[in-house]
Amino acid sequence: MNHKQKIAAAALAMALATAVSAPAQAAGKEKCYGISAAGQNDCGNLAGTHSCAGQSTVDNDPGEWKLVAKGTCESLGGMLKAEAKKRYDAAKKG
Amino acid sequence: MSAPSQNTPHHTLHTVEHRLANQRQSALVTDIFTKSSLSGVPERALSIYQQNLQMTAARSLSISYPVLQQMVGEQAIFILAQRLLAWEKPVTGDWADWGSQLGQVIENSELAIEHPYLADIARLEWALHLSGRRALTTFDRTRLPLLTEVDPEHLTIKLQPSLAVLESPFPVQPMWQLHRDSHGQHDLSEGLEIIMQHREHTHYAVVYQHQNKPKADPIDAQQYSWLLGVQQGMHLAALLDTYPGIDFARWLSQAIEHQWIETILSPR
Amino acid sequence: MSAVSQHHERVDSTRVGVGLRHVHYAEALAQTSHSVDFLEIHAENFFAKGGVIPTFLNALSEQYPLSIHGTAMGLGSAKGIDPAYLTRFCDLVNRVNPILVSDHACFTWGHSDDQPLHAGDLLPLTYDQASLDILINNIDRVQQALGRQILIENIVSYVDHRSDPMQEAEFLANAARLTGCGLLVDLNNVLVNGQNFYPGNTSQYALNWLKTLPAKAVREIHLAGSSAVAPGELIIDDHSKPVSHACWALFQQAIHLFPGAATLIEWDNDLPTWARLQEEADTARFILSQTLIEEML
Repeated sequence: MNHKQKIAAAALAMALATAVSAPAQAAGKEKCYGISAAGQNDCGNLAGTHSCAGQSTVDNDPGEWKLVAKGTCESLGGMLKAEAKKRYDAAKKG
Repeated sequence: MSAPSQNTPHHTLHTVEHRLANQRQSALVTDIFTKSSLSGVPERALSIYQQNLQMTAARSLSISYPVLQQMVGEQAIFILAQRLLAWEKPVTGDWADWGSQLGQVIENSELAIEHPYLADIARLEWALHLSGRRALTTFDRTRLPLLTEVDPEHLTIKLQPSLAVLESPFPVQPMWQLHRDSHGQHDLSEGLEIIMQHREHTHYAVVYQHQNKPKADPIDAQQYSWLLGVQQGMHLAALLDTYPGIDFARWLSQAIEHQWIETILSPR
Repeated sequence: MSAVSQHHERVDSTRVGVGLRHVHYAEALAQTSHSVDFLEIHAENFFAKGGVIPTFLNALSEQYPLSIHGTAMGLGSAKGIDPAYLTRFCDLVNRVNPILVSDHACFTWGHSDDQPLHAGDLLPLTYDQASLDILINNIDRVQQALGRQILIENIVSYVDHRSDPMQEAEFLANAARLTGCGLLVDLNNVLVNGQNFYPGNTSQYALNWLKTLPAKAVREIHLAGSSAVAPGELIIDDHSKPVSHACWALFQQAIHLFPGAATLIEWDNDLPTWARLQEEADTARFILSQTLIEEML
């Protein structure tokens, strides 16, 4: 047995002792509670509705369209932004 | 995602009237997507369809990219959705399939200057989105004895198609994880600063489906190269020669546990 | 499977279901005693082949009879229905064996810059012979692919159809007659179209509309409510409110006309609690039983 065959044999021994994750069906109902992306077709083309047309939660005026990060990016802090910019500039010169 | 082929009607309908109906439908679609006025549909009606499309697209992105939404906010997602619509059209009838090019759109946007990590956050989230929707094949344990029966030069490991590896100059996996675990908590600046302080030259992540859910784990450069090699179909002997630092026995055992492997292949 | 035949027996006029939305997934599964007779799900939300979605769907179909409602098929599309979409739709129907299968009398497939696309919306047909030919051709193809009947639902349209060669109800009646498809009557959509284009005459418009349909073809009724708008604006079918008084009143007339139809509560935006949704179902069931009693007397 060469070196690589020995490695493979050791891997077989260890793999045989490894428990395979429970199959999907046995994962239980509570797993379903975490479905995050299941409602994707509940809006625009739903059941004869144009419900998204009514959801003008965002300013629709293109004049106001300024692409600015508002969420946690805003709270990333000056240190990160400065650092990020440095990297960006470096990459551009790169 | 490739575009669907030209649809073939059950019976062929090709009278003048049917061509006109086709043109009428196309005109309305074009008006909705490009804000033209070919269809003759009155403005107030058209604007409802246009607004519905805009909001539906934005909503769809916020579902496929929940962490990005947390990071940039609703207005930015809305604007990105409009730009993406011009770049990548929905083609399948399932909104979950739309949005693969968002990383590219972000990279070409003004956001990239101050937030250059965002495009890679988007790529990571899209990989997670895809991974969580793909079918997983149960690992065939009966193939394991091939490890000793066949020469390593004739063995390849087939990974689950839902597995993806990513690299980035930014710690996108820890950033993503922080948001994912934040449970709506708004001020994550402290956690983000810690992540950025511990950044390295390049960061690597593996995305996979485990017990029905998409997961992303940080990995090191060697694990990344190894996984890439496996994914590209390198045979076991070549892998062991190229990456002697990998403890194959441990890796295989973990890979089985994490549901990374579909099967072990040998030409014989 | 016996469960399947049981499901089929359960589709009758006294059956009241609710449209299942994401926020209620957990509660719907956790519930042991049902005050709804079936759940309606949106087909495309369950197209994923792996992950948590098929697992959830399995659990759901063990617990409830399901109705599969497509939102994207676009049965009136002149370009036809995308074959890949139809394959995914048929796979889903085969997995679930639903009590009812439905989609809309609208178009969705088109092209822009010569590239095929999906409009992501329910776009209006012109009610003429050419559109009818296209619609029945597509319905035929879908019913053959599914090996079962599909119901087609009336949509809200923001285009004025008053000068179309056919009236909407007549158009749908023709489609049902020519293809054997069923009809899904969304009462809120009838009312919204009536309010938008026949203001002042809405209830008469709606009743005439219903009376135009072949009664036996109507297999399902959708009930919903929409947000009020400022006068002069078009009402959007946002399904964001409890079923309106006008809709309940029309429902009473509809169940006299269509004794073979199941009833579904649809609430899509500003979603209520699961319990509140079931109260709406209870109200529908109460009205149904009152109507049955009236008819017996």
